[in-house]
Amino acid sequence: MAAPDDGADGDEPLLAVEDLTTVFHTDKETIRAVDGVSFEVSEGETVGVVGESGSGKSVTARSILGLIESPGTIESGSIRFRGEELTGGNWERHRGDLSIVFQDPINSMNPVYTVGNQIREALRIHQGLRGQAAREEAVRLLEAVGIPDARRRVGEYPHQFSGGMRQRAVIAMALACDPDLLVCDEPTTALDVTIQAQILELLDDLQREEDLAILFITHDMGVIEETADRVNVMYAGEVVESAPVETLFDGPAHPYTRGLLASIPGRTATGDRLPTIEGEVPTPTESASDCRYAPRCPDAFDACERVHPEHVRVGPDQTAACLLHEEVRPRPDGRGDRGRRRRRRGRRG
Amino acid sequence: MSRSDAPAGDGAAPDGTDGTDADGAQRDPLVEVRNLKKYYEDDGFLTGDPVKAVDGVSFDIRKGETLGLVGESGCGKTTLGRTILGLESATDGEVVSDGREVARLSGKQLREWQRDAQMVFQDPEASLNDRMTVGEIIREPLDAHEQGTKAERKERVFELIDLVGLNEEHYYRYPHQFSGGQRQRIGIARALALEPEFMVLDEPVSALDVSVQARVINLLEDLQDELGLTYLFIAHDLSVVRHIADRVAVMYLGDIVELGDTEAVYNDPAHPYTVSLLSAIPGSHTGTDRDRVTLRGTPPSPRDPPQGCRFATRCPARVRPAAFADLPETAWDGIDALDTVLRERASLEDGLTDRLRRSLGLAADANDIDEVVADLFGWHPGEQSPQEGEGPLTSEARAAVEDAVRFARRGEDEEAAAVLREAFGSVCNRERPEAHVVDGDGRTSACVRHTDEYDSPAAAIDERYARRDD
Ligand code: SF4
Ligand code: SF4
Repeated sequence: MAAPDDGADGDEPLLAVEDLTTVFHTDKETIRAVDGVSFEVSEGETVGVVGESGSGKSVTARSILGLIESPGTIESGSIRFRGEELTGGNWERHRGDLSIVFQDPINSMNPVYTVGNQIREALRIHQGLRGQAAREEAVRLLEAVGIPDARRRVGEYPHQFSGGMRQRAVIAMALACDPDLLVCDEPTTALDVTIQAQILELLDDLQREEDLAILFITHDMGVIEETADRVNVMYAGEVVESAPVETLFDGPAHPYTRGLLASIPGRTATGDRLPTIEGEVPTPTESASDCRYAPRCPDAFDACERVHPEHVRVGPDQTAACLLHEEVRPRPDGRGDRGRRRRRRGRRG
Repeated sequence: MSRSDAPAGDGAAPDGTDGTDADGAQRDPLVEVRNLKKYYEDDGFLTGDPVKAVDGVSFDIRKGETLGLVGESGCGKTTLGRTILGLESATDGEVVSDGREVARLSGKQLREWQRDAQMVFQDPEASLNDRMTVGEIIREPLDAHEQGTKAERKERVFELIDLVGLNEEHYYRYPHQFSGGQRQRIGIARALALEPEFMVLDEPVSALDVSVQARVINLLEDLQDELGLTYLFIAHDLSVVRHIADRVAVMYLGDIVELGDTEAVYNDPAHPYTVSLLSAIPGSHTGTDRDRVTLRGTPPSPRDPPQGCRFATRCPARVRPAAFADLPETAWDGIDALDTVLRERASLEDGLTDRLRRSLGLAADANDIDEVVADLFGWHPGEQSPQEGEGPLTSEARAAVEDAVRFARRGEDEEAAAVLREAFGSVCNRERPEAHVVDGDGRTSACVRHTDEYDSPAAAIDERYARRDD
């Protein structure tokens, strides 16, 4: 597991997202789908972004790839790849350096071309390979992603592949661009659990062999636990907690993270009722002047509706955007004092 | 029986296992399924083999229990649920409830059964008519079955709305104005309208976010307690099933391979498929401390299921013939992979180019089977005869592979696969295993390894993994 770059030595991480805000304009309102998101991905590292629907995780992925289309727009913030700013139309120069694998492989492939054709096309554009060299490389890539009988299957059409095989082929296409960063947007969500296990294993192997950095977007905490070195938890357009994966699962600091983990069946003794989070994820239309989780938060107190929580360090390598963790906060009646909370959490973290 | 909020004095299982022993052993079956089959024929065109979606399953659903039904897509679990409800006509076998043979019902009796037994679907969006108000949607089954007066029906709808945790004013709204969780509540209210005693819940929470999912699961458990419902809970999410089900049935390719008390199955799975399936759940909270058993490949087509054990093509514990007991694991990896390749080639419809090539007499890529073998075993069957000890195969094994390759070179993939299986197959490839009782609570598992003749599945899997590590 790679240590996240703390920037102290001035080295730029592979990918640095800073204060990213992506909005969608509708007739009535402006939806702030991603609202001030920051995180980094270092070389060879897997960074997870986890959240429920409406959290903004997929829009974050698309923003990074430059795939936001009208009525959406990146309103502000910066996305730097190897130190170079991508926003403002600089994606073309890094087309092959960043690749994305979507949830639904069939939409990522063209049904009228063979799988081999599509991989060769990517190889031609991104690596300048043609003819026999491209053919050989296409077979090698299909073999690398664990497709048996690659030499024959390279000549088949996407519909002749099963779901799992198709996702492997899509990963092979993504690898044909020879990327440094692979963005995986729910790549296993449409797959059965035994096939998911195969794909996760494959990504893990590829990461080691090809020294890939992976940005892994998912709603599934189990998948995150398995794949990520570092996790960012998103809620209503914002990252509310960021921590190394073990830290997050052992000692979640944000009330939303805690609620989310508790509501997963299997983490609660089977005889018990599942703990729940009341209410629904809001759709943010204004920039936040409060904590967006406050209406649902069991720990909310009055300041939560007036103050927008900034990220504060709650452990050696863990941050949370929650006023419980602020340096100063009004003491609500009947609640334990902040110092005690912090000490307890400090031990855990 | 549900686990949550057991009423006081109910004498719930004292050992906390919450199995069926407390009162379940005597509990009557509500639905008895016997040798049920559901095949789909092709629509005339290309009359091949039928799709054997459900292929001879037998089990009981007990009064008041939640029976979980898990398995991967295409295993037949949804078809099984629909056939039990009479929404699909059975090809063969019986579904008996309360003396009625459901699969053969028609007319009034079928309508009665379809009142007593209801289905809740995965996708509340697709199953709710967007042009009707919530009130109308929930009332529809009452209208169809002419229950009470108009006023009574309306009152009943308000009751149901309250029962599933919606508000009165929701009566006049349209489904699209609701979130996914609320829509699922509408679907549940509608299913409850006719006071069924049995519900088939088909992936009822799969489309929902976890925090919403938890609330719907709690609702289903509350309703079961309150109304004494019996559930068949179909899901691919193994953690959800573990939480909600008293017993669980594991399905693979049209067959139930294991059925038993949920906790017992999850803690100590008996069937090799269950072992692999549970070990594939991502994350640390899964409760199994076994190493992951990664299955290769995908389930074969239900149109052409393997002979013998359905799971034999992917089974990590498949019995191997004694003659090849000494082959290393890498050799078996190769043999299994070659088998998969040949099977897939045989089942794939020829593409246009393939047919064209053949009609032109160009078997252009037939020889690429040699390359597959070279990749798998490190020796090129077309070129040189290998030295003894080269590659993972023994000379007898190599001879068998060469036999198969000869057929494959001529494009006779099916024959090639048969030759390969003749040499390397075993009882697993020949006989359909029967269900064996594997614990004191009547858990069953359909695998030959539960007989004295063989090591247990777990022992076999462990042994093979250990050999691999050496
Ligand atoms: S800031 Fe307040 S409302 Fe928001 S998560 Fe923290 S305690 Fe809850
Ligand atoms: S019968 Fe054979 S192939 Fe089937 S599950 Fe048992 S060991 Fe595996």
